[in-house]
Amino acid sequence: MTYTELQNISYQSLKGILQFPSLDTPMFWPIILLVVFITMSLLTFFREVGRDGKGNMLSSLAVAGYLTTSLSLAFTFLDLIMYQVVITIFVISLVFQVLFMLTKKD
Amino acid sequence: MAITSFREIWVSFILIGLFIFSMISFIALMQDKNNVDDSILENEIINNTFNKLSQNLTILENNTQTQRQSFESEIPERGFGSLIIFSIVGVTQKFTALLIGIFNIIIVLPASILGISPIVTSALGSILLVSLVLLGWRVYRIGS
Repeated sequence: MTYTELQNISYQSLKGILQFPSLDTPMFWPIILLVVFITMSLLTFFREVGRDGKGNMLSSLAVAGYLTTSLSLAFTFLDLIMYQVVITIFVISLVFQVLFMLTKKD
Repeated sequence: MAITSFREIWVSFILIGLFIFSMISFIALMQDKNNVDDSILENEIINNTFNKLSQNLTILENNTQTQRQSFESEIPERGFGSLIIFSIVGVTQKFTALLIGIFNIIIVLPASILGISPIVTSALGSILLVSLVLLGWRVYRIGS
């Protein structure tokens, strides 16, 4: 497979450079968002476990959902991802956020 | 733990509806202001959901107000082994009206001036009205 090289792209602004990985690997930015989501949720969960002795995975997933939705929104400003990806991320994060809100805290 | 009371589940779902509405509004507004070509509202399902949610939240207060008026216009009947004092019924009706008046001053007036969406005040108003109806019913039943 012949990969696109940097000198072969005509649109060399910040937007063009950031879009460069997506030319050959369209899933690049969605995978970055997935990594951010997993990292953030596990980071907050284990931080809570380390501090309090127990963690709430649902709240960690909800917080990571907020972050990933915001990042995906920022990515759309630069045309890095398509709106279908934003909707998928939004709906997945919404599920965790709604479940967290419906969970009664004692 | 599961939610068991009607009031809790009502308030939770109203707030969740408001939350979803605000999230979709925020994303759509930011995309529109930043000239994004593919807005999420181009998706038919999201667009329909957003419009339906907006309509439901807008008419929420009117629907609740109708139910409150219906509740207040009903004359409670004595059940077996129960006692209804009709002055209590009057007190409940008059004082709920007073609370709604104060709500209009402390919530609706600042919200109008600060430019908060009528949907938010509608949702908050309906939560207040349902709470008042349930509290009125509680007063009829057990007198407190």
